[in-house]
Amino acid sequence: MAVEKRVPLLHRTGLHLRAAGRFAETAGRFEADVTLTVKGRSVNGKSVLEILTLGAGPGVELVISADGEQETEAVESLARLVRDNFGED
Amino acid sequence: MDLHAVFPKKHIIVDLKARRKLDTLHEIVARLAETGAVKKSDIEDVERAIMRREELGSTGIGKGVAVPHAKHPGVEGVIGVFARSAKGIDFDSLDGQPVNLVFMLISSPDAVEPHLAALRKVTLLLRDDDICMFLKRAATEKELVDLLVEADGRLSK
Repeated sequence: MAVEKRVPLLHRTGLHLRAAGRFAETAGRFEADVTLTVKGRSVNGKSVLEILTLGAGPGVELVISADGEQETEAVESLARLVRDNFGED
Repeated sequence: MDLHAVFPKKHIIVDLKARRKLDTLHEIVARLAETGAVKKSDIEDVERAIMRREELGSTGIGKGVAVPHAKHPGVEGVIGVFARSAKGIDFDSLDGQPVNLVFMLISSPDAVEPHLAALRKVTLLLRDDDICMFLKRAATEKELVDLLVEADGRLSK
C-alpha cells in the first residue's frame, strides 16, 4: 500500500532548482518509488528535471506519495523537508 | 510565459567561443550588456550573482543543459539568454555530461512565479527529445528562434 501526505508549499521562492535538488536527493535515499503531485500533475519525485516541470510556486499543495520499502519514512522525511523550507531561510 | 519571449533573437548565442565554465558565464552575461537588457553599471553585479549561485551547486541539470540564474533588482520580470556550445562545456553537471545548451535567467527579486514558470518551460522542453536534438543541430539564430516558437506551440497544448 502506498503512503501519501499533503503538505502546503510555504517556501517563499517555491520549488526552485536547489529546493527541487534537495527533494530529489532525499527521495533518492529510499528504495520506495516516490511520486510528487501538484495540481493533478504527477512526476517522479527522484528526478530534479521532472520536479521542475511542475513549476510549483509558493502556496500550492504538494502531494507526496511513496510506494515500496520504507515508504512511510520516505514520505515523512520529504514532508519535513518541505515544512523546513528545504533548509533555506 | 513563452520561451521565445524570455529568449528573444537578440539574446541567442549560436556558438559560444568560451570553452570553460567561467568564461562561458562571462560571455553570456556580456550579451545582456550589449543589448542593453542590463545596465552596464549592473553587469559586474549580475555576473557576480551568477557565479555565487554556481558556487552553491552547479546549475548543469543534466541532458547537456545548464540553467545558470540570479536575481537582480536592475531587471524587470525575467530576462533570458540562450547560448549553445557545439563542443560542449565542462559544467560540473549533475549527470557529469558536458553542456551544449545554456539557458541563463536573470530575474527581478519579486519575480518568483515568472522565474519558476521559465524553469518549468525549459525543463518541459528537455522532455521533448526531438526538439532537443534539433536545438543542438540548428545552424542559425533564425532556426533556433523558430524552434523555440515551435516548442512554445507544443507546450501550450
